[in-house]
Parts: sequence; structure tokens; C-alpha cells
Amino acid sequence: MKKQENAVLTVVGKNHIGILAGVATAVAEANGNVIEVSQKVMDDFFTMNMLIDVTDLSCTIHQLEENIKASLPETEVHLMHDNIFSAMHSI
Amino acid sequence: MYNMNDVMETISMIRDNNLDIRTTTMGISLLDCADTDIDKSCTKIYDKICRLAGNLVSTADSIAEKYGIPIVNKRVSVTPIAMLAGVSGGDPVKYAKALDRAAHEIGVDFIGGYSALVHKGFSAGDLELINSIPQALSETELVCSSVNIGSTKAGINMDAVKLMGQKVRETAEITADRQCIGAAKLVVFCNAVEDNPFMAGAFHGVGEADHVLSVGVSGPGVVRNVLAGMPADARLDEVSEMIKKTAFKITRVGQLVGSEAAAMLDTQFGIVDLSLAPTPAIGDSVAHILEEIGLEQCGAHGTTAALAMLNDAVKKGGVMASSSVGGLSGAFIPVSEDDGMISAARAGTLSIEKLEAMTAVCSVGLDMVVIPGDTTAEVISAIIADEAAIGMVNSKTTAVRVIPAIGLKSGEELNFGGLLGYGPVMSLRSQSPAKMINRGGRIPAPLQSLKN
Repeated sequence: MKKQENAVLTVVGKNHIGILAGVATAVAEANGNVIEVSQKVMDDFFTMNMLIDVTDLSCTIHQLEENIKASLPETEVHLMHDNIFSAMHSI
Repeated sequence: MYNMNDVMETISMIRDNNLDIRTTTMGISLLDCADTDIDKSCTKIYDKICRLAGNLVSTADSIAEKYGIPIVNKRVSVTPIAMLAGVSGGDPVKYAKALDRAAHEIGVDFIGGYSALVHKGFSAGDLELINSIPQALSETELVCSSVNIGSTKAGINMDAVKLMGQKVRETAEITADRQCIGAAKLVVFCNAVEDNPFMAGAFHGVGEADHVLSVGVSGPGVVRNVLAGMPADARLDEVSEMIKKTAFKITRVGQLVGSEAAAMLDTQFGIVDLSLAPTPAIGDSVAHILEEIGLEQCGAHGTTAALAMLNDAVKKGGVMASSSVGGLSGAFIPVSEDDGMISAARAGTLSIEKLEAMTAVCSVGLDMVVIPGDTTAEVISAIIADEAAIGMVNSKTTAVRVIPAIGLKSGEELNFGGLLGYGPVMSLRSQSPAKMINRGGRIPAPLQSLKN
């Protein structure tokens, strides 16, 4: 069995309807699996942190990031492999 | 799941503050390529490098894409070529050309190891190789050369120092039509390390495994940004602590990338080199870290102390972050490659004497310093001797990579372009050290006790 690989998605921007839906659709289209989501809306400001299983992704992580960015033009989107965060922030 | 602040910190380090992997360098032993026929030897070298490092560039690119972190340079270092030249005899430039062809074939940025280790004396191949350096660097594009002329245990080979002063000058002269670029690819070391992944001084030591993959991290911009976020009255022990933590994080990324690349290339993971390596890009400067610590400009009084603290904190943070630390590990101060150093040199705040003092407490030495075109070979030899003495006495690596700017005078500027940057010609003392340099011989190894 392949070792599970995860990626962390962050979305920050002005709140509007359909942000989560847009992200979820792009992830599903790329054969990614959402494992965990935490989101907050404060004063019309949207922040979201999502852990995605990218083991069987049909495209590269970079391509998925571009797809999500295209569907959410006015928000800041970053998608990076989970290994980098675990290397930096856990001993 | 990760804390949002941690996630955003990592993202901002990479995307806003130029955190990158400066180099992935594959070290390849060429000892099994030695042959008494120089042409056969060159063929074996070419084949071995292409076989082992053929996928180096594509592997590094795929890891860079996977993690979204740039891997700026891909390089190869090899066994000091003087050893092969000693076996085969013949014109060592043939080796340089074979290395250059291999480097072009596999697509790396530089290949290092056109080197000789002569800290105690010359053996077969050493003199021939050193004498061929100017021609080799002028007739190849990607080959880098280094010569070790001293060590704490052996002292300084002053015959080699004299010779290298001449070779540095000749190399600049022969490449004068190309911004004297040859001299930027030639390093003279004292206490050279065998596992350094950074150019131009990388070579693959004879004590190393057949092939290893090492990584050099970077990130001056990250350190500066973290310090900029601290209160101006934070005490220096707090500043040092913050640098340590940041160095830890940077090094962890290097360890991750290095071990993954080594596994993909089916080679042994060598070392992470913890150096803070600047580039001419805005925000990627070691000088700016020193200024953030509290100096009006790099080169002011206090620079040596600030640099000593920075260098030590980087090592302390990095050592725990990696299973294997080595190379040069520290803060680099290449003048022409560092935006803040360039400004300080232009303003006259940073002088060659201050740089020399700085090299006593930081990684390496007088690096990428542009000197007047009329500097004599004896003066260059004397600069090398001074640096080597600092390294020898302090049991550390020091190096000289000076570029005599043929045709230019103090105050004018030389521009190499790219990562090598640009810099003003720095003025030197005009008094002659010729009598001392022409004596030749050896400076004996220093006493290791009674240290004051």
C-alpha cells in the first residue's frame, strides 16, 4: 500500500458565498480527499486551513493549487506538502 | 492539524523571504577512474558522472515542485583532479574539458573539483594542475577550481601561496574579456573541508563514500525578517535565541529535501551545510541581518561581534535539526553576492581590513572581493597568506576568492551578472610584501596549547 501523503491548504480573503464549495469541488476533481477542515469568519474576513490526502492525486500539488486559485480569484491560496510543515514545526 | 500561525510562517518564509535550498550537490569519487592513459581516464570520468548524476537535475526539480520550495542550484563535486593527473600524467586541461562536457550533458550549474591539496607539499600532478588552472578555467564554462595551501596541522605552504597569487592574477587576465570571470571560479583554501557542497570550493574528499548527496540551505532573508519583528530593545541573548530557532527551521527543510533526493537517486545522504548564503536579490543579504541586529551599516565597528553571534547561533540551531551537519556551515560574506555588502563597500564603510577581521569569526573568508586590476601577484599571495594564517591559528576554514578587475581601478565596478553579482573595486595597501612572499618555504604549524 502506498504511504499516505497529505498537503495543507490555506485560504485567506474576503468572505463570500461558495469559498468552501469551490475548494471542495477543485479538490474532488483532482481526486484529493479532504481529511480535516478548520475555518473562521471574523468581520467579513475568511480564513481556512484544510488537510488534504493527496496520495492518489490526478495532478501535481502545484496544479491543484493553480486550479483552486483560478476558482477563487480574490483570495490568497497556498497549498503545500505536509512534510514541510512537520519538518519545521515538530521535533 | 497544524496551527494556522505555523502554517502561515512557513509559507511566508518560502514565498516572501527567499527561503530556498541553495544547492544540492552530488559528490562523486573518481578514484576508480584513474588510468595511466589520460584519454581513457577522461572517458571513464565522463561516463561515471553521467551515470550517477544523470538524474540529479530532474530529481531536484521534481522535489522542488512537490514541496513548492525552490532548489536553486544543482551541482557535482569530484575527487581532486590532481590525484588523477598524478596517475595519468599529460595535460590536466583535458580533465577540465571532460568535466565541463559531463556538466553540460547532465545540465548542472557547476562542477567542482579541479583541485589540488598541497598544504604540506606538492606531489605528482599537483604542480601540473595548478599551472593549468588559468587555461582550464578560461577554456571551460562550468568547472570550478580550488587549491588547499595550508592547514592547522601542517602549517602554510608558502611556495604554493606564491604560486597561487600568480595563478589568480593570470586567471583574471586570461578571462579579462569576460569580466575576469575565471578568478570567480577559483578558491584558495586553508583547512579545506572535504564535504562542502558550495561552489567554487567544492570537491569530493578521499575520505568520503563513492557517491553522496549533500545539501546547502540558505535563508538570510528569513532570519532578517524574524529579527525585524522583534522589539528594538530585545536583549542580544534573545536575538541569538531567535536566530537559533529560525536556523533550526531552515535546516529541517534542508534535511527533508536532502534525504528525499538521496533516496530518489539511490545514493547516500551526505550532509546539510548550514550556511546562510546571500544572493544579490533584495532581501537576501547577510549584511542586512547585521544591520537589523543594530548596526547603521555593515562594516561599522561592532560588525565582527554581531557576525560572531550570528554565525554561532546559526550553527547551534542547525546542528539539532539535522542528523548530519558538515561542509562550511556558518554565515557567508561574499561581497559581490550580497546587496548589503555591496552598498557598504560602495559607501566605503566596508574595507578589506574589516572583511579580514570578519573572516576570523564566520564561515570561509575573503569571498568575491573585487580588487584593483593592477594588483601584483605578490600582493594577492600576501592576502592569501593573511587569510590562511587566520584559518590556521583558529582551526577553521578560511578561503580567498578575489577577482583582480583587469583594467579597472579602485571605486569602479565589475558586474558578473546572475548569482555572482557585482561589486566595487576595493582598495588595497600599496606597500610591497614581495620580499616575504619570494622567500617561499613553509610557515610551521602553530602550537595547539598556551593559547592566548
